[in-house]
Amino acid sequence: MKYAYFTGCVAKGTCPELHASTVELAKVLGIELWEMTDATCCGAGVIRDENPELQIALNARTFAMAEAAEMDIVNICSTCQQNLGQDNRAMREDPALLERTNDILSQNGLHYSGKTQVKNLLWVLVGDYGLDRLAQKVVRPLTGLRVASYYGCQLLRPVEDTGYDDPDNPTSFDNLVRALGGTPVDYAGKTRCCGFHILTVNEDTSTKMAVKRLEEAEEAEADIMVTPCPLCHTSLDAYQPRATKLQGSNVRMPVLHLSQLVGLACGIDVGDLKLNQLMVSPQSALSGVL
Amino acid sequence: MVDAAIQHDVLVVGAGLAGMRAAVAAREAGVDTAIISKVHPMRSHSGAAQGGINAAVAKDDSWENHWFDTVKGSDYLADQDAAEILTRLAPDNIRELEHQGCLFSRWQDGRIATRPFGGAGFPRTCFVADITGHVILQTVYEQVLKNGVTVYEEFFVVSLIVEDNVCRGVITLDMSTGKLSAVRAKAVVFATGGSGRVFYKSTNSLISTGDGVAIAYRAGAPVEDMEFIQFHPTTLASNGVLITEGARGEGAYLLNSEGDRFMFKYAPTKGELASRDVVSRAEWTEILEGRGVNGCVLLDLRHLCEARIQERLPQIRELAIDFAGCDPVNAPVPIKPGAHYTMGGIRVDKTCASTVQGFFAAGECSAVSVHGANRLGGNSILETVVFGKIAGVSAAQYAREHDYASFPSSALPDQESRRNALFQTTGKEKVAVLRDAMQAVMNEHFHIFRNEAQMAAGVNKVRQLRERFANVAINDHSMVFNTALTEAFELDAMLDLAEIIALGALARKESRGAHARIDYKDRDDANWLKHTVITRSPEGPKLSYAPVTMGKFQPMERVY
Amino acid sequence: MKSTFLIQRYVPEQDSAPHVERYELDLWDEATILDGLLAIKDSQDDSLAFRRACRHAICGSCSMVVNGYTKLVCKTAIASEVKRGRSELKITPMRSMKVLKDLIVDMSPFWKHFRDVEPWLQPDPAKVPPPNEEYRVTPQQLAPSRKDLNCILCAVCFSDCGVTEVDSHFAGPPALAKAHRFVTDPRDSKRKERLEKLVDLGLWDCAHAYNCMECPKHVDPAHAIADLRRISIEAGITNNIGAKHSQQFTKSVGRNGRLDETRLVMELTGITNVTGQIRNAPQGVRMLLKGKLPLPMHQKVDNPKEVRRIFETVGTKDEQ
Ligand SMILES: Cc1cc2nc3c(=O)[nH]c(=O)nc-3n(C[C@H](O)[C@H](O)[C@H](O)COP(=O)(O)OP(=O)(O)OC[C@H]3O[C@@H](n4cnc5c(N)ncnc54)[C@H](O)[C@@H]3O)c2cc1C
Ligand code: SF4
Repeated sequence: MKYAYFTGCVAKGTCPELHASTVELAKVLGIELWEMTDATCCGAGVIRDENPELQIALNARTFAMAEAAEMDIVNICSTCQQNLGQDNRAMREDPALLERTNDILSQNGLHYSGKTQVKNLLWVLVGDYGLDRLAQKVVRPLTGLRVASYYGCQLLRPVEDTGYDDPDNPTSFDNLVRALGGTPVDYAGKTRCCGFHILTVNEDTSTKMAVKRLEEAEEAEADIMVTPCPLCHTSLDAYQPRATKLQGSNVRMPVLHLSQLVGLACGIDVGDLKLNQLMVSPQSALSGVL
Repeated sequence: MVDAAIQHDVLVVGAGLAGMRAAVAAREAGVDTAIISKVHPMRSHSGAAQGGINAAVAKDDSWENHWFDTVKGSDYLADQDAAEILTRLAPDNIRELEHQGCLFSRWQDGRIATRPFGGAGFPRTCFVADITGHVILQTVYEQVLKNGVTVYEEFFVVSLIVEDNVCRGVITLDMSTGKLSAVRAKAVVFATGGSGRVFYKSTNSLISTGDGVAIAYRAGAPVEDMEFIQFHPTTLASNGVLITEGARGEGAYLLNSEGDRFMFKYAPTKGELASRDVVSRAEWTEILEGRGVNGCVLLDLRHLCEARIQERLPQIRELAIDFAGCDPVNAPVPIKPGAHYTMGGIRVDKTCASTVQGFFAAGECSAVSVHGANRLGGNSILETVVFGKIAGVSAAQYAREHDYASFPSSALPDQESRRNALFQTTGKEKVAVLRDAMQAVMNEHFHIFRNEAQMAAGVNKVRQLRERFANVAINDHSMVFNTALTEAFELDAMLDLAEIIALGALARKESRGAHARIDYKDRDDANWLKHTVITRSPEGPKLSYAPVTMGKFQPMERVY
Repeated sequence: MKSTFLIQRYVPEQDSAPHVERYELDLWDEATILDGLLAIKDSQDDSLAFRRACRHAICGSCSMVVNGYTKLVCKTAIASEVKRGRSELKITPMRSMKVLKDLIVDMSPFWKHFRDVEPWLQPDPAKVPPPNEEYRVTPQQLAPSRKDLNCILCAVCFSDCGVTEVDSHFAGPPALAKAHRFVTDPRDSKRKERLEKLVDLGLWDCAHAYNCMECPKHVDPAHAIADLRRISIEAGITNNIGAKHSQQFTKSVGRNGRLDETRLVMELTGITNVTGQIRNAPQGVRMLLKGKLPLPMHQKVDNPKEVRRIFETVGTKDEQ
């Protein structure tokens, strides 16, 4: 299995540990990753707001590179998944748009025919790799660990772009947790927004949203939360101390990235997974597993 | 006399198109105006109007042609002076809506587009895709907000207070608190919509229960031509949801089980676009004669192709998918006639004034009468707009010329005891059971084809249901949003209307428009070119007849 | 088809808190959730309170939360939930609004936001055509607001939106879609004023969760909001944190192909805004200590020149 690996900006910026754990995990699972060091930012919906065709052109460039390398794209971020996915669909559905975009790409000697598929790591693990196969790789089962899988919002919508799970009743993440030996917990906020995208614009509202998600997981007696996305990760973990302080909440919830959780179950060294870089230490939550 | 907590110069009951249009007109005329509605204005049934609104806006059309089509469509029972007002004022009213913001669909040159509709000699139906009523309702609601008209939402009017033939106001139930209170007004306008729910699987909203007509009737206002119930030719079999006439306007075919476009047998020139009564009878005949498909005929849009359907009829497509499990792009939709429109209503004159001083009515609850025995598609929301405005102006003028009249002290306690009776009764009857029974009786006995024996039996059944209603019990005794109570009030109203419809129909010994009798197959202008007028009396409903206002158009045979 | 409805009940006069009641139903296969509720009201419990009117998705009355997601229940088949493996339908009132009774909520905050966008046409009085003429508007000019017109104000999206849930100031998706309808109306004369007001009403507070894409009428408020943002920047309404964030973000990507978050935050706070920088500092220090240190040299893509070329072709002047 070989993928064009789209790191996204945050895993190369403020959350380098998630890039590191993804690379380690891929090694253990025998998934080959070709890091797309030339891929741009996905636009995060921000560029789309301002100039939809610009964002599409940037992403088409990324798709063209993956297509030339004959690989599908894997990403480790819900926002990347949403934006790449939606723009990809837009071009597939609108041949004229694809043609216009190719005109722009041609100045860089690139062409995109619409074949590339975009998959979040979660979909790669659940869909391509397979949970049975994954279960066989588990050497450190998450027995007894109550895991609140946090799909968040962008991974699932719009459904036509991402298309791998039912946005109203997603099950893949929980199935994955089960395959790792853990206990999935159901909670109200699992597909609701973490507020990341307005963190700089409206910190109060954004942190309220994050705290609500954390509290919902806590109420369901989760030991940890897991996200497939460095942005949710930033909101929920990196910002957790500040958010809880601003909103006067006592919640304390360790939040792991998907690659870290799977890596953990697959026996990767805790140091290599950079769990020590989490803002909220998972030490005691994971004591039964480690 | 009691103190009214609330009072307004003009009080409009109903926040559909007619009600809001009236309120804005009254407000613009400078009087203090408020609206009472049992639902939020945007929930009113006007929003369901799909196909369009008629007006001779096109250069090569004329309002006189529209006038003629309307009178002919009515089977000559419309008052021609009222129909003249409707059609003459139509184009300016459309453009006024347009100036207020309504985004009508356009031709390439930027002018308002029109589509063909049934019974019309010219494509003169203006539209917004297939959500015309919805978008016009938005526009009129926007004007209500802009003009700061007070709206009492989720207030249910239970009675109209009239003494010495002068209207004094209404009693309302604040649904959120259960409080009954008196609202005084110098002039009251009813715009309470249709009564489709008297019938089974009607196209109408669950709230189209005809309360206003029944309330006015109880207060002494005469009602007119209630036996004329329009059965729309294209409704979904599963739940009666409407497929607009606009579908046929855009070119859809009606097919029987043999795949024939049968309409040309019944209407050699207009085919599918004949008047609604004609098409519904044709469909029913096909079904009765064994050429139906599971009790339906088929509406075929396939040849219009996906792009056109998506552009012009997107809502229809989705409704068919959701409720008939069938995508009109790929398969014909099974449809059948369903109760749709109440041609009759509170009897009013050209200024929308009833015979009760200070009491006005407009829209589907009224009979001005522009629809006579059969309304043309696209003329109804036109009526709400044109006569809504007229009602508002008339009411404002009346309010300026009169003072508040005193309120009888028994008015409020009467309604309180009425509610308490429903709470305290030890009876065993259920609202839902009686309602279902009433709808079944009306569909069975007063359907598209009627006859003496069947209708006489129907009248008896309706009266039995009325007797059973005395033993209705409600389990819910809560004050907050007691929808069991409001449903009981609605049923109470519908039972009155069912009897009125039944009596009017039984008495009218001819076939005209939507009233088709197999025992009197022809129109009988010599004896029956007249309005049925029913007034409440201590002995029960009293029938009388009133002349039709004739004019330029002499009755002719109606062929399409 | 058999199904179970677990309905949240609450009657203010008698209950101190909501409770759940269970109803068993056996209805026809195509029955909607509304059919289920009507059947319960008709034959099991007449006291169940919910709003409903048209029963075909045009009046917007019957929105409620079904198994965690807000639905217009007249348009949602019971089977669609059963197919998802949920033969039990947990039905609760909409979010973000106070429950008045059972499934009925107080929608006044929703309507207030709607009124706040001044939802009526405000033409230039000098340009209103005479009564016997309409404005000339081409089908192409109508296209941008076509989807907005579909909105039935059912509040499904309002109830599902993560921002409205915690922020009562945020106008919410339908009010913004309504605003979009007027901003894109060629007959309206108050475009700029509207856009300026929208910034105050929360234009930039949408967090891109895309829940509102599940609109039962395909309105797509997320797109309307994005479009309003684009138009407002085009109209030069950029003196606000949202527009600045957007512009700096795009610029940052134009520079190196990737987003430089640290620089973005500093630029937004304003390099000279000492208090702002200090306020951000503890968070920065915390992240630094945890090794979440943005690399001193922001990573560039391999060929930033290619990216710049794209910006030169499709980017607006400002973005270049
Ligand atoms: C599915 C459908 C499609 C249609 N399509 C078309 C079309 O394309 N073209 C056309 O011309 N016509 C069409 N019609 C007919 C047309 O829509 C209606 O006749 C018209 O909208 C009625 O408007 P109205 O204002 O009189 O009443 P409504 O819009 O029904 O409003 C009635 C108002 O009265 C209030 N009310 C009622 N009772 C009470 C009470 N007791 N207390 C307080 N308030 C009360 C309600 O709350 C509501 O606000 C269609 C009808 C249906 C059913
Ligand atoms: S945008 Fe859609 S979901 Fe939101 S209120 Fe309007 S119709 Fe309902």
